[in-house]
Amino acid sequence: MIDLTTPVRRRYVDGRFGQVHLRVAQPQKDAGQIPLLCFHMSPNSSRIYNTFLGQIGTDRLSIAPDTPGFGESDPPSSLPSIADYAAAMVDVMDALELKKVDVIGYHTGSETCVELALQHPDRVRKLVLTSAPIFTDEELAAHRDHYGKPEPIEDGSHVAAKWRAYLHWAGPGWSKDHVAVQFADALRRPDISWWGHNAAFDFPMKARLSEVSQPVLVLNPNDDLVEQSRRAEGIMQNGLILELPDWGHGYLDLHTEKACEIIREFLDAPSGDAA
Amino acid sequence: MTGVSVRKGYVDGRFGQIHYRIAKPDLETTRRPLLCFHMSPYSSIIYEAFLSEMGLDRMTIAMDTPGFGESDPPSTPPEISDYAGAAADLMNALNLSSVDVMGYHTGSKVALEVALQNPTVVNCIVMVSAPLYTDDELAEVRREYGPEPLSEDGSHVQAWWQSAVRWSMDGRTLDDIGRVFWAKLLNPAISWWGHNAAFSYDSAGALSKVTSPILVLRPEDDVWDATARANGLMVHPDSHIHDLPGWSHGFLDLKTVEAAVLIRGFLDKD
Repeated sequence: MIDLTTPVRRRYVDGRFGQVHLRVAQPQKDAGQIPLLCFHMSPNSSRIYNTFLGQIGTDRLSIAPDTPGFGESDPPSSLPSIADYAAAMVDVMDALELKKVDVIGYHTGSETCVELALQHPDRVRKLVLTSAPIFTDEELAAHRDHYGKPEPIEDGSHVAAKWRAYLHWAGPGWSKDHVAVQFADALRRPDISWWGHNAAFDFPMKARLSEVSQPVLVLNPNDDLVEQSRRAEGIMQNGLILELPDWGHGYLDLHTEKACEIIREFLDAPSGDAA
Repeated sequence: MTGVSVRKGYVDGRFGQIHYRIAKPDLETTRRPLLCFHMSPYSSIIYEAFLSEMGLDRMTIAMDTPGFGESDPPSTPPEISDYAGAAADLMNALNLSSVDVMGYHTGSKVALEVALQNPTVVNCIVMVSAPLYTDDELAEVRREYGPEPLSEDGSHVQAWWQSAVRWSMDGRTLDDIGRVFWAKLLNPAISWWGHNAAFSYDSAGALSKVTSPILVLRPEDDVWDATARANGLMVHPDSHIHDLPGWSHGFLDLKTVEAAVLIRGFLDKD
């Protein structure tokens, strides 16, 4: 049987906010594909892409950075915006001498993709967004309240509640063991772990997404942003939404092969059209 | 006074990538580098503040033990000697030919074993606790720190949090605990391997074999009593136990400078 995975290694590069921690997978021989950059959700880290990188990296250089302030990446010194995160990703591209990339984002990471694509239209070819978070004003107000700075409680009920929330949003088939692997990252840096959501809620996703001229594929699993992502319908210049009603959080681990197939088909299509 | 900045990196070792934190003075120093090993589970994150302080006058490095933090795990449950082997890989990769070592709980056993395996490289040893267990105690801690099932309701993480609170020294805030607590939850399927290795290690034998000077720091934590038994076992005349009543988990963050003063005094004696 052919080994369909490639090793995922970690390393650091320097960026404007300090060290940026990366997970990197690459084929043994350069297959000539444009490299792929993957941005994670908030809080969490590039660990969510670990399994995925091992497969998508078999035919292209694939890199998942920890967003500054998450995982092992140094934080900005003050509250960052999505534009700051995008700028940090340019630092990664420069450090690795990547002239042009495709980008994948997951929730907050999707917004970073959009901002990066707008800031550097010549360096971003195509975008794959797991969810396109377009919130109403009422949702934003509720989310800001819910995803603010977590206050630790002496009896630990705050960590138990967070665990239950992770289990609640785990997609079909994503076991407790899977959740536990990612859960530690969600508890890191409780003093600033809300910065990612804060940046996401300040980002005018609807307006910015509608400005993107590159091809966009929105993957819409049945997770906490399924409704919000449907609001991207009709506003994209060159995009389409793929509904994935049987998938939820964890699909990168559970449906890795199918996800790679969908993403490769989109990225490697010869035309500039999303369809 | 503020310390030096702490950077992070990777080297390759026998079990895969080894992740470490490093701090060093701006100017060259003749002082020996200090290599630090963390408790189980956790990671080199527990040394973050300490590195920043110790790095003012010497290169100070904290390794993520294989299988913890961001270091790749061995393929099967390891022994303390395996962890010490990985430490040797790190020393080789960083070209360290003469060092002092420091360990915290499980890490103190790793430090001892590194000294036994590399007697010409290791000079002085600092152990935060040196627990020697009776057979009954061993059976109990093996039960307590073995693999644990994950709950639906989060009671398992809640119990870990409560344990972290219980054994924290006075003055350690919930925010302080929160800054390191996550590291206990990494690699959950194998996070019991560190304790497993520690409980299989012949600490009494190692303590009586090592000829380097050993400073045992004895905070009033969960192994306060078990550490008292190290008294009289150590060979070198400068070796001793330094009691730290009132100190417990979190002292590296809360008593950073005081700890550094104690440790510098011991390491820089000769």
